[in-house]
Amino acid sequence: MSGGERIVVTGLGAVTGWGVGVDELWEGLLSPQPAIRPVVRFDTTQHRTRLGSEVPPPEGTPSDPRGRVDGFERHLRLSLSDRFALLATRQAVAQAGFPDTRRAGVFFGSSTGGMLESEDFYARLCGVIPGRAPLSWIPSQQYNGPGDAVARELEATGPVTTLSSACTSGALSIADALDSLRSGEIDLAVAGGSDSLCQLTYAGFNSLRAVDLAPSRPFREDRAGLTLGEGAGAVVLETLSSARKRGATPLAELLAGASTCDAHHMTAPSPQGAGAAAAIRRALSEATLQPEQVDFVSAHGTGTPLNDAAEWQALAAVFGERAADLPVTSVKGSIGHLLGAAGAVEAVVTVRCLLEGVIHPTPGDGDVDPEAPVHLVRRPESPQRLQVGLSLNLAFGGSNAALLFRRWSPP
Amino acid sequence: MSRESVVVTGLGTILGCGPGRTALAEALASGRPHLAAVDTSSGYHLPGGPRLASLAHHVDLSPWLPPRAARRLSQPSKFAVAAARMALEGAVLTADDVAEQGTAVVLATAFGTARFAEALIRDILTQGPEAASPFHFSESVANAPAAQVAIALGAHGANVAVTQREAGPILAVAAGAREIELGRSRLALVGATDEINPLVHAILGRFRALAMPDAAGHEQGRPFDPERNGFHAAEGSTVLVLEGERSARLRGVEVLARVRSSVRAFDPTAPPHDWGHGAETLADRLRAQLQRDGLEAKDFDLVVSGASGSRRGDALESDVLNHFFAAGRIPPIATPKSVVGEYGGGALAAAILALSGEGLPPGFGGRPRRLLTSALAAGGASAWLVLESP
Repeated sequence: MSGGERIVVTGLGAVTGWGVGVDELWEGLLSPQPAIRPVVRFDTTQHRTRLGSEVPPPEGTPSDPRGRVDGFERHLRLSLSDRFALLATRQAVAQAGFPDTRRAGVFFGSSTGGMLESEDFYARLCGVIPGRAPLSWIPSQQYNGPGDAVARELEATGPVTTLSSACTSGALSIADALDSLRSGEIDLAVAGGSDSLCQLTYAGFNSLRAVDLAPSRPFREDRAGLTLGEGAGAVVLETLSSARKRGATPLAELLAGASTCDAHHMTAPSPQGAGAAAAIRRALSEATLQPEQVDFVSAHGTGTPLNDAAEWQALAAVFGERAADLPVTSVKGSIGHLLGAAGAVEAVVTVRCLLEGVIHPTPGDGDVDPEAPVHLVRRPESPQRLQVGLSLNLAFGGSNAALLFRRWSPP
Repeated sequence: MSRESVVVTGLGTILGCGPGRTALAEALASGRPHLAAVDTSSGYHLPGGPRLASLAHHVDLSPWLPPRAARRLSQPSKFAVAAARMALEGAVLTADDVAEQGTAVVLATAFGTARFAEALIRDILTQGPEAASPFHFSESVANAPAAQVAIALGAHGANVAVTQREAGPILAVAAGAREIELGRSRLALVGATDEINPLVHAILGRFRALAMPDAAGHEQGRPFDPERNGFHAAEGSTVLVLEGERSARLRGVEVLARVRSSVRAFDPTAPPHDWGHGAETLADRLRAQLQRDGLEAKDFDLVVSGASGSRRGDALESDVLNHFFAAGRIPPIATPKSVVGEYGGGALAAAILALSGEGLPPGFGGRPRRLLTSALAAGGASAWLVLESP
């Protein structure tokens, strides 16, 4: 698989609790404070927790983020998740130099699609809240809403596939795009993930007692759960020959995308992190890399006791004694867990780390868990060598995904 | 790198017509769908609208899924686990084989575990968020059926849920075949699983997507009929066992079909809830992608069409076929969705049976050598699969 054409990243886009933009996200990640605040999207007084990382509405727009957003007036049927996907895609396509996307494939992941709008529809349908339940709220409320919306806007005619494998959806979609590019099916792809915060996931994760009352503290000894977030991440991927032909500047190389399944439990990772370790090994094999060539890990790092422990076990199994020295970071202490978008946003951040030569910190106080003794990046780090980054995601149902990116070096 | 040839060696179906290949073949031969009344007591349905669907929740799954295990699963997960076990039986494979072969699981679902998701939202809205059931939540994710198949059978390969509406089943087959072609897995369990709960049925009805009752109260999708007015919704699961052809031949197992090629495309003229008019674009891409695999229109002797009775969907399908095949040279077309309905992967199963000479259009002599099966989704995604007689 490594013998095929090199696949490069030429555009990045992100919508997160830090706002719309990769620069905004990067600056936020470098700050010691998280973008975690009391949720305003819906009433949380009856919920067990109050915090989340919501995307702030762009300046000058109505405070209701479901209201019109600049440039979306003609897309009244778009869900918030669709809008996040479009905003992230527009950035990525712009950075890539506006390639002709009509030949592109679109690969997007989403965990809940337009569930936020479905909840409003259902509440009205059942008379829980007054008002008509307009059918116009429904069309974009499917899992495939964000990816289809992106494909329509780009006028894409290539393959369009939505994957919904909970928290690995975004990473699996990037891996799907990589396969498609390597096979020669297409030479240009937009891939990513998008999800908006909704009551179903907010109450659902609380029902599992998987949400921390405070901002999540990945890999800390006293961690008590995740914080939910929302947003989207998007990357433009293309064959190196396509990028050269267009005169586009590669930002990084996507070396591998691998996935496995724990086949163990719906919500708990396999205790030894065996499935995640297998995904990392597959990715390394696909990229023909040795473990010692990986310079840092963007961990799934949710802050739940089980996830972080399993992830450490996986890293220890693959990287051996070096695992304790391998820099590990997690965006989730800053922007929360973006579910179906998590893998996509974390891929964007992994590439940005390689571009900057800096690994962003994981905010939060407390000592690192001695049972999961990762080298947690707590302040921005600039190691001498920062060539290869591993982005890892674990999901409900035991799905694991590992992406490997390499700092761009022309052949 | 030469690609491993991928074949289908197992077929499991839990559909409204009953479990298994024989029930499906009999239904296709009869030309009649197995429709049952959808529960309308929730009040979601509009007066005078569709009331029937091909429902499978009455099917006895106990030969493949012990009731004790079924208690912990949503309906789509139950369908999928049962269909997967049935498919493995047909392929003469055991759960040990699945565990040893790094098996991939790729299942499509259009609406996910709709009943559990609805129950969860209803509880949150009416009783408060603390009433949310952790069981409903963990099974509400779209990948729950694929994950439950993996857990039940010990499948440690890629585990993916494809959520691309009507195109999902073919996309799932293509994704599973790729895992084998690239040497990542030696086995793949691929297909679709869906449930039609009253809410999903009512919403499809409100969108006028479903076949309306005629004067006699019949509701059936009538593909390509000028008077068609929608499809009939179906629930259930179809799971195929995919493996490398060399491995299948060595095992001496019956090969049901060879997966020769797959094509994906998008019609950007499609609105989110309906089909578009980009037939020429879709046909051009179909032609170009098949050429990469050394195929052209004249190489097909049957089309197993995804036409369902949808007004705009069938029109687009017809236009694509007319663009792709030279005028007057369209091979015979089978339209299994008039029997199996939309969703649940019944049409995919029918395409496999067609290679054995079952469910073929009237007058079709012998067995098809190579067929093209299609799935154009509302919203624009489109997929085709080329299946060959082994």
